[in-house]
Amino acid sequence: MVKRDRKWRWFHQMGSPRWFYEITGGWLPWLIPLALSLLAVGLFWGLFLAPPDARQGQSYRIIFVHVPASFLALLGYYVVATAGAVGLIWRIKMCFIVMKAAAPIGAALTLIALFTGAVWGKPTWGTYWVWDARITSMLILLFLYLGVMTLQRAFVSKDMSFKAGAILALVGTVNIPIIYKSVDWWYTLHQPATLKLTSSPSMHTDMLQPLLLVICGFYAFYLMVLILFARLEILRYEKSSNWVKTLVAEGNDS
Amino acid sequence: MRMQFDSLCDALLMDGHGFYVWLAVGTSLFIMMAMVIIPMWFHKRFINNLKMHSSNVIESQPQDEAE
Repeated sequence: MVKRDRKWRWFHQMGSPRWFYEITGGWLPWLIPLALSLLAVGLFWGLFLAPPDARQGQSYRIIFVHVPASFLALLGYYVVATAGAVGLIWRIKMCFIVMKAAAPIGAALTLIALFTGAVWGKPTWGTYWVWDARITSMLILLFLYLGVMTLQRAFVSKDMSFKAGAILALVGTVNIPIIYKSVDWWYTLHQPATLKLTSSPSMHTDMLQPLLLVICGFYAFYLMVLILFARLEILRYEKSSNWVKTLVAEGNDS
Repeated sequence: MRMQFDSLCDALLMDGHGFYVWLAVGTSLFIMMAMVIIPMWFHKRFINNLKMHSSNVIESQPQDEAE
């Protein structure tokens, strides 16, 4: 019995907003400089040191923000949908908080992906926007994020808001494979994926290295912003609890 | 690996693609900065509000230390 308790302790701790708030408070002082320096080095390398593309010239440099933002926009949807599913099944308060924190971050990253894609489209395809499968399914992703955000604030009952948001997030998961496969299934202007898990990348090493560095930077940035939003959300939910009152009284609000 | 541009002006122009590259990069960085500043600002404001509220409460009634 004792052994079983120990095994599951982390699971219960993860579900505790107070534990999450305290542990992540210690992560931020190194996570913030890590994320910012990875982004700074990767972007400088990509924008100034990487060689120009043989066909697209200098405009291809938009890839160094477009691809990482698109990656994390999709990853962010997994975070929202998983937190929603786990929260619906096990009713963990922390899942509600993470889901609420992750939705606006995903929406912002999707907006970056769409905007940089449109700006990249003009010199490359001659148009800012086409209603093709990849771009339309990314626009649907943005609307899904916005829909989840709206539902999370739509009901007086917090429990009801969470359930509604989680169900929309789970239904919207259908869109994810469509986004991934859209460049293969339909004829489209959008180029096929540059990076794939299953095959070697169709990109020169001199361009690939800075791109991977910026992607690592975006992962760290995502984690950092998720923690920032989640901690704010925790304070809002726990404001009448004793530990928040003590925290405010002692001034350890970092 | 070497610098691809001879001058700052070259780096800004990027063979005529500068407008698109810097518009994309600038907007992305602006949105990302907002993603960091907004939660930090709200966090600070929330703590300050709680602080003001709790000091009002302490003046009117004794604080309970039960936990």
